[in-house]
Amino acid sequence: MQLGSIGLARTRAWLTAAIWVAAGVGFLWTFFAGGGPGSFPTDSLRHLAGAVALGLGFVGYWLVLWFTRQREGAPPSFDERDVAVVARANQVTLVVVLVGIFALAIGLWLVYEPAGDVPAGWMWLLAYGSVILAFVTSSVATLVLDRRTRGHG
Amino acid sequence: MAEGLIKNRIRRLRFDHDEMTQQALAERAGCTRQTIGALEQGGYVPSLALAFRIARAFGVGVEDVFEFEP
Repeated sequence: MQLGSIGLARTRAWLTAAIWVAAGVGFLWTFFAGGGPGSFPTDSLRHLAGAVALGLGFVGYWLVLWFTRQREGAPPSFDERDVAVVARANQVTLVVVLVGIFALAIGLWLVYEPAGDVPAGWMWLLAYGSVILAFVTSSVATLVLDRRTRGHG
Repeated sequence: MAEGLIKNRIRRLRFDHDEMTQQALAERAGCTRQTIGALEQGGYVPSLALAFRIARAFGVGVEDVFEFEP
């Protein structure tokens, strides 16, 4: 399955970005709705909803990989340029996720330092958020870098 | 970046080969049509293996397709 003639890497990136943005919105909504990080660890319903959002993200991502797999005998739909683009996108993702986790951790420390402790619920945002951020960043970086290597729009 | 130092004549060679389509060349060279487009636009420099496959698809040598400008 490919969307028109945009290529497999772009098709996967668009679909993956859409899936993980939706999963991210779903998780953030469950995290912040109804009390935020203070009550999240003890609210089993929101816990479950957050886990479902993340789980659906992984299932959706797996389905994208399955439906866009290289068919036997079909012309190559993923080649060395795609590999190079995805590798570069993963490098960008690594840096973005590192900076994101660092910024959130330091931000929490700055906010809660006067109180002396950080609500444990924020750890859920750190854990789930890093996964979601990684997938979204990787997809967006792939789209941007793929466009750049084409040399035109 | 070193990418700008390597130019190619893929578009011209496709024209000389009865206006071979990008898709046809991609299938012969074992890559995607998008990569052929990227090569023609100068946005991507291929691996040595792909360069040889493209040259072979046209029935010419690598240096007839790619040119290195120091």
